[in-house]
Amino acid sequence: MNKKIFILIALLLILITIINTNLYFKSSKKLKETYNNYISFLKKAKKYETLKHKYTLNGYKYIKKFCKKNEKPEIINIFCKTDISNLRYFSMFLKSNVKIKNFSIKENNSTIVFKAELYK
Amino acid sequence: MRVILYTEDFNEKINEPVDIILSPQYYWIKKIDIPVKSLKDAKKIAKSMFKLNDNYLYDAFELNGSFYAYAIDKNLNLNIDKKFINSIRLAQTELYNYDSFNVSKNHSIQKIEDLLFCFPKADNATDINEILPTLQLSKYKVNLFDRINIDKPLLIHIFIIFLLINISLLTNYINNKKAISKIEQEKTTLIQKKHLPKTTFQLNSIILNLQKIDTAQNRLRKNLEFITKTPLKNNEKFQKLAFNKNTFSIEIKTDKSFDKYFSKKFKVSSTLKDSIYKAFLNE
Repeated sequence: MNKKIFILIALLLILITIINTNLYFKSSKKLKETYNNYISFLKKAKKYETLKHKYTLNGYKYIKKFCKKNEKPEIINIFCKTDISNLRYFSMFLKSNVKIKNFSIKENNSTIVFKAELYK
Repeated sequence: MRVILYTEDFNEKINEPVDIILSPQYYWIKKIDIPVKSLKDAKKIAKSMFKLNDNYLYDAFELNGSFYAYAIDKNLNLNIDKKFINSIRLAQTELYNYDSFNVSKNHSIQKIEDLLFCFPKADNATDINEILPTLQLSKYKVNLFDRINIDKPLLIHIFIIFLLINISLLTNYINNKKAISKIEQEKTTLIQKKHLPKTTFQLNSIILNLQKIDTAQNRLRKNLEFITKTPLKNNEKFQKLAFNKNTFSIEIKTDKSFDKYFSKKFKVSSTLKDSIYKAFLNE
């Protein structure tokens, strides 16, 4: 075989192998990075979902009977006036997973006045 | 460039690049009589035309519509430094047009049935020195020195190994690319399905905000629990409990101060007046 042609073919084969090896290792590295990023994104997405849906207005059902609700774009105002015997319902409401901005509860002559601002 | 005819009688000292034409004394040649379609086929059967060993280089060429096979010693020792050898050619290809010519004091070359052979010097034949200066060289060259002697099956094995390695690398590369694309597709689907922000950075920022809110809400409930567990006596009761901007304000109907209890968890700012204990509780 011609020496020059042999060397040329050998160099070409080696070059192609080097290029392919490089391509393979780069793609493997990128795959690993992409996979790790995806797993991290997945964990964060789950966390986001959990946090996003953690707070609801379900607790409002406890005080619904004696309260008025006024919804604004980001805030919900609640105003209630009722007998002190219903105090436990407000306790349940405050313990529920509503997102409280502020609240006040006052007692006067066996009547409760409850005001609250909730985040939506 | 100077052209020389290399014969057994050649004894000149060469100090310049030359094109060498080998005398028929240095090679075996046969006209291929069996029908071959192409030069490629002629080259394939060249070796079978001679009963020689592997020390010979076998090849073929086409001349005037006929195919010729030749064999030449791979270890041919020419009395010329290799660095001065520009090319090696056969007398058959270069001097085919001449029927008879003298090449040295003792020898001549004559064409018999299309093949050039060496004979004793002939009378009335042209001298080679008159032919060489005007000779137009053909494209046929003998690649005698610039060759590598490697076993063909071994070469094929090495080539197959390289091929398999490359196929394997390429296959893995394509698989990796597909896997990357699949993961990215899954991420896009997830983003669309769950209405998530497109980048991890945006998601992190939102999560951070949500976590802040969550922490604040958890703290509020713990503090609320602590406040509602205030040790009150029968004649004592809460009259007011409010929360705004991280501060609780309380009013308790009592004759005593609850600073000691509340200061376990809060910074307390309080007053006790007209049997009403008022306090602002701050963490």
